[in-house]
This record gives sequence, C-alpha cells and structure tokens, in this order.
Amino acid sequence: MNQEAVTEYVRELLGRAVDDVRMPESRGSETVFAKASRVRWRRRTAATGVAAAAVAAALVFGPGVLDTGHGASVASAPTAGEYTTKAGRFAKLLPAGTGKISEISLLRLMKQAPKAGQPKPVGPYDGDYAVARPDGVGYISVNVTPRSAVDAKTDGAGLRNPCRDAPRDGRVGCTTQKLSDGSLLGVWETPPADPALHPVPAGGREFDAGLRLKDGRYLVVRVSTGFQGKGQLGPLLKTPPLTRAQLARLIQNPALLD
Amino acid sequence: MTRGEEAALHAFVEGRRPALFRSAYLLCGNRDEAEDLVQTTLVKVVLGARRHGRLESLEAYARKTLVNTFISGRRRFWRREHAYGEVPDVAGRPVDSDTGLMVRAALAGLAPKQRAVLVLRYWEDLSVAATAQVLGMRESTVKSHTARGLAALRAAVREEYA
Repeated sequence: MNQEAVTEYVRELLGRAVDDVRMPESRGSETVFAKASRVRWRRRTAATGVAAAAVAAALVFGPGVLDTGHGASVASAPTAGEYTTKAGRFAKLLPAGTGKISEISLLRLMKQAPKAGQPKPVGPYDGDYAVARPDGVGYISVNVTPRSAVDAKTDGAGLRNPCRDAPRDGRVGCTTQKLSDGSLLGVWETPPADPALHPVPAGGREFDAGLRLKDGRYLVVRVSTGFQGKGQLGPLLKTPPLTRAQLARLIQNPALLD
Repeated sequence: MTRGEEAALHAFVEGRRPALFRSAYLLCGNRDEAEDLVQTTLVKVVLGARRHGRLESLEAYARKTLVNTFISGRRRFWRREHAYGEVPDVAGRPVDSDTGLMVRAALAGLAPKQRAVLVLRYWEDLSVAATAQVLGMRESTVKSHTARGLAALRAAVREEYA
C-alpha cells in the first residue's frame, strides 16, 4: 500500500470511529464567551488575592503545612481531627504517628479550582486526606464504587484479578490475597510517572490497594508521598504515609464501607 | 478588538465546534470528556484571541490548543492510567465486529501523544512537520509515534477480520 492509500485508509477508519457518535447539543457560543469572561476576571483578581489565599490556607491546614519557613512546625501543630470531624474519625483508623490528617480535595488542589465539583461519596470515609509530617505532605484517598457502577463499567462481568496485567502495565510488586469472607485483596506499587512524559505535576511514590468485595462493591485506597507542582501543600514525603502492610490492614477495616 | 472581529470570533466558535468535537472524540474516546475538551479549548481560544487582539490562524491555534489541552490533562497525577486503581472500563474494548468500536479501542490503547499524532496526521491531514510543530516534538518522534499508532491499528484490524 503506498503512502497515499495508507492515509486514505486510516482516515476512513478514523471516520468510522466518529461516524456513530451523537454530536452534543451545542451549548451555544455564549457559554464559551461567558466562561472566558469569568476566567479573565478570576485571573485579574487572583493577582491581588494571593496573600489572602495564603492566610486562608494557613487557617485551614495549620501553620506548618504551607512551606513558608515561618510559623510552628507540623509536629507542634494541633493533632488530627481538629479541623473536620470526618478527618478526625478517619485519623483514628490509622496507625499512631501517621501524621496530621486534614480532609482536602486533590481535584481542587491540582486543578487550582476551589469550586470544582466533587464526586458524591459512597463510603463514609470516601475522599482525599492530606497527611502532614515534618518532612512534607502526602495523601491518602479512599473510594468505594457501588456494585451498580462496577456492573455498568464491566458489562456485568464484575472485576477480574487485580494483578492480572501487572507488571506489564507498570505496576510493581502486585500481590493478591483471598480473604476469609470471600473478598479479594490486591496491593501494588505505582511508580512515579516518567518526568519526561508527565512533567507536571510530578507525583511521588504510591502504594495502592483494591478490595473486590463479595457483594460486588470495589474499595480502593491510595497512599502517596505527594505531588510537586501547582497546588502542592508541601514537599514530598520520604515514604508513603502507610507501609504496604499498614495499607492492607486499613483497607480491610469494615468502617471504610459502612 | 473591534465589533467585526468579535462577530468573527463568535462565528468561529459556533462554526468550528462540530469539527473540533470529532477530533476531541477521537482523542478522548468519550463523548462527555470530548465535549468538555472542546469547551475548554474554545474558552482558551477566545481568551487568546482577545489577549493578542488578532484573529489570524485561529484554526491552527484551536487545533494546537485542543491537542495540548488533551495531553496535559492526561498528565495529571491522579489521571495516570491505573489499570485497577479504578474500576476497569470495558467500554473501550471491542464487544462486536463494529469497525468504529474496534478503531476506538485501538486508539484507547495508545499513549496520548501517539493518539494525538494519529489524529493530527490522518484526521486533520497535517504533514509530519506541521504535526511536530503543533505538538512541540521532533519530526523523528512524530514518525515513530505514527509507526506505533499505525501498527496498533493494523493489529486491531487484523484481529477483527481474522
């Protein structure tokens, strides 16, 4: 096949891929212009609002979290649970000495969008938590997927062995364990992204655990040393907030589900 | 910006949306995400056009913004592709013999930059040099991404019709 024929053929294939896609009803150009005006306004006000935002962040996360070089250290900051009751309750599920826990939204931090919509929590502890230690700030995320969503995403087939594609997919040290109640636990490490391919924001080391429950639900807990870039709350931790063993114990805590 | 230029900008946003949506859909493989990508792109185009006060090359600017917004969105920390960090999405795999599904599945298996190269080269009909310029990469990189992308498509087609 010559180059021209290849081009034609590939174009035809791509055309088939978009052929049956319903075009969205146009939101109208006015919505684009209205959004552009809001962004422009925000950019103008952001320049004058930086100092106020820093003060607000210090009030929310405590003086040690923002890496300003001033104020009290994280170690001397108030203990977990002072800022939100959910974070306080979650902190009690963690091993002693994990760090200072605050409820945050990684989506809002990374997108730099304080009003970005949040997914509706399913489990009582679903959400993102910052873990502040003297050396930096890491994160723990908890997410329960209900059976209906699992079925919808897997065409009713349910989830397979979580380690089936590791390490080909980049995850390392993936192990599975069948638990006595019939659920399947998988624990693995997701290495930091290649900085050449994913320069911003650069993520740190991350342990993940997935629990396929007998009733069809799926629980995921992620612990990471943090990320670097816009929105970061502090430097990367030296190690993830929990060890693999601690993570495996946490994800088996029934409190995360009901 | 004059009133005439504003009107031209409105016309561009309105008229170019369907074509941008099709390219965005090939990149994202998801209708909602594609729609959001187009909306974000058009907002950036409007901001850029107003900031620079000129309307030349809006088409190229929109195309470049679209693919680069797509690629940078894929770089974000929690959006790195965790095969099982989130529930596996089987919608991207071919479930019947429909060629469109097969092509979308093959595209979904490619890295974002490879997908962008295929869309720019074969859907937007750009040359290797123009594609390299849009994506800010070397021509040799465009060629290698193209080769890998075509190989994936070829493999998918072979499997489909085997």
